[in-house]
Amino acid sequence: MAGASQPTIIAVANQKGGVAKTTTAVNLTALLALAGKRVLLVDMDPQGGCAVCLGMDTEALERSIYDALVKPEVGIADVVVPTAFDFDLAPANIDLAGAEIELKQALAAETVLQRKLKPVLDKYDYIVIDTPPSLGILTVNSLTAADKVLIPISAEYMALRGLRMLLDTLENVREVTNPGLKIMGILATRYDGRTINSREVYEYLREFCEREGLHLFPQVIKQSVRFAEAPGYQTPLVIWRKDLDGAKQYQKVAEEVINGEV
Amino acid sequence: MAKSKRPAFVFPELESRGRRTILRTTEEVSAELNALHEAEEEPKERVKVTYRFQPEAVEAVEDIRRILRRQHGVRKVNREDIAQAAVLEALRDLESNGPSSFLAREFGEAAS
Ligand SMILES: Nc1ncnc2c1ncn2[C@@H]1O[C@H](COP(=O)(O)OP(=O)(O)OP(=O)(O)O)[C@@H](O)[C@H]1O
Ligand SMILES: [Mg+2]
Repeated sequence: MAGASQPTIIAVANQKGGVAKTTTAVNLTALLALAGKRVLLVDMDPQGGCAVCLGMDTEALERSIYDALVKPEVGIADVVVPTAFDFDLAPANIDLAGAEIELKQALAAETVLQRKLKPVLDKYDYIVIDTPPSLGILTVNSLTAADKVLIPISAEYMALRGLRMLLDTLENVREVTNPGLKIMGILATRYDGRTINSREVYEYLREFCEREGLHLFPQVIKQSVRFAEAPGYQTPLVIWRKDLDGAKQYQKVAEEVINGEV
Repeated sequence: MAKSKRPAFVFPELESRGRRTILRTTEEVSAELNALHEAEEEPKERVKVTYRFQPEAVEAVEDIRRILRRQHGVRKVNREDIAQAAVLEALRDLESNGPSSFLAREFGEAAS
């Protein structure tokens, strides 16, 4: 990486839906901010989950990441909003669904986010990008802009489907737009140690990662209903209830990230 | 723990290779990036203005050009580019730093 003022850009990606991408992105961002880092969370998912987790009304947004991506005169800084948790958010809403088509008409469409982020790079230590459950142009943009990708996988049999396709996509992105892209690691989420299924999947993942030379976060995120409750309190779980196991598990992951071990 | 009779855990999809997601080549993307870059660099229209500089300021523009060329390998820069960039930077400094900007300090003191 270049100068010390360059942020680390982390894309949280997996085309499988509901594997805790948004939960991981929001909680990791909150913890990085809590640790005194200057952080920007970029929502690249038209579902607008990041804003929802923080209690924002995505319909009421005057501007969103969509505007920055498709309008030449709008920069990321114009769409960023501060949050109550000491980090900035570039929020998304359903408008972003339209960007899929509009972006495809742009020159070097894969690199729009990367180019748009340039002017704000020196304002942040970390930029975390939440991606949609697909491998379309929005995810490709996120992976192109990123230094590292964090892959959450919910610890269940079906979630393993598509991991190879994701890894192939990462290789493809490296080849075409972002040779420096690294895999930060695979994070097992929604792990339920009481089920054979979860344990088996984790064991399988462990062997797979070892064979492929991938980092598997030693800390798993366990299944807990609290994660689904937190958005109701408009606060990331790691801030709402620091004492809960789920918060402590994400804390471990964040420490590994901050210490630069991954 | 009782021995499980479940079949061994295998996931063939993890082993087989999938398709490409970006259906383009590096060359195609970089050609478009170059086109974008050139479009950005396309010079805007320039208006002719005349200011008088003291000789050392005239010499300074030459010095800047020489230093850029010799020490920084910059070939495509002319006197106008240098003067223009310096003025625009001075404005940014004035706007963001107000009284502590170098222009405010330079001329503020001279005025008092
Ligand atoms: N460790 C966990 N235990 C239980 N529920 C969880 C856990 N992590 C996340 N969830 C819940 O699972 C659901 C999906 O999580 P989340 O939205 O983070 O996934 P996602 O991968 O971003 O989904 P999408 O692909 O739709 O964007 C949410 O209701 C969330 O609260
Ligand atoms: Mg999500």
